[in-house]
Amino acid sequence: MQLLTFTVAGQTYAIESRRVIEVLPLVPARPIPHAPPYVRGIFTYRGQLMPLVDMGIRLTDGPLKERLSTRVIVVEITSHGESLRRLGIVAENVISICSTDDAEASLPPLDFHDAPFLGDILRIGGRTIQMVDVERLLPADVSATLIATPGGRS
Amino acid sequence: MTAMPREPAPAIAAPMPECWRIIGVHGDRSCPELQTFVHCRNCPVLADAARTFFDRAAPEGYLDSWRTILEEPAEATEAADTSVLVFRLQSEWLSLPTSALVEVTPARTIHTVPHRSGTSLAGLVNIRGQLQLCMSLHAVLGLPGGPHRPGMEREGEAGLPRLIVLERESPSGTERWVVGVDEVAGVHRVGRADLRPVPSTVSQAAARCSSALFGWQQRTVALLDEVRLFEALANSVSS
Repeated sequence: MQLLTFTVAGQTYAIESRRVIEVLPLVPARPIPHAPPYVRGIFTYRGQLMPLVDMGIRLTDGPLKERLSTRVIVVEITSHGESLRRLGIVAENVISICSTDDAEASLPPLDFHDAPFLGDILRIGGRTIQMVDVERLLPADVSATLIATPGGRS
Repeated sequence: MTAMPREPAPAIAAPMPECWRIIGVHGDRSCPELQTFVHCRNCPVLADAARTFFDRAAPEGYLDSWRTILEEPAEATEAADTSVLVFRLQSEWLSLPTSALVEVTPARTIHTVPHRSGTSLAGLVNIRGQLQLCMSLHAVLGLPGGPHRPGMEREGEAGLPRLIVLERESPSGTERWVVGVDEVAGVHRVGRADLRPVPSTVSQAAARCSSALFGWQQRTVALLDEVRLFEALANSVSS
């Protein structure tokens, strides 16, 4: 399985490459009042409204800074039945890929109830990488309201 | 294959700001680290400088221009594209969906099979150490011109002859075929909207295997249907 790596607060995380549609610069998003803090806002992606999840808040304490190198990873998720839905993930240092085939050691996911999206911890090429499951990044109620189907209206 | 940007490189203190311009490859090349790294682009000092450079805030207007780009709806044709390998047999330009393709290799010796020469079976070829049936696509498709013989092309003919390795999963296992072509023009994307039906008046074998026509560089290229082509190949070798 090929992985796309990124960093948050100096630590490396990875998502499955096959989920990734595109990697974009951090475009301005419209904030949504009363949304969970890790939802940075909504932005228009190829004519669709798409939520933007800030991995800085989802994984650690503070939002990621707006740097020229900060990226939005557009991913496709399949939750809620069959339809494919898209989601933007704000991350830093989105500059390398790696493969789980090269993992020298791994730990199974630690079961924390408030972070079901955290997956295996892998040691690949001298880096310790934790997997992030994009399917479970948003709780079901949040993703049901925020994520539109690709056709437009949900 | 992985780019490992950070940890493995030993930390080196930058001797001066923008050292690559002064003692590096863009300067007088007196930096001792060049012995190790050969070029500044391999040096962690430049990598750090690059990372710092991109850690600044985005220039004014840059992100807004991206927002404008992304607000445009996606082109509807994007998903409907197919990618095809365009190749030439004599004067005919044909194409095959890349999904049926395993590899394109240079033409090599075809070992003829006694008593089977002159048919659509050109012979056996060695592909990565395995002998495969090499078919003459000319004969299978009923095109004019003799069976294809790589290595016996006329002088001055444009393009290089190639062998195309095709594969399909069938109930009896994986089927592999090798066909010789006179020239391969590469892989191109064709939108579904650009495909035209094959005229019904054409009754050649080539037309029976074709599913559509499309225009490419002022030429008309026939898109071969891989299912019908595999059947034609199987029929021609069993007859």
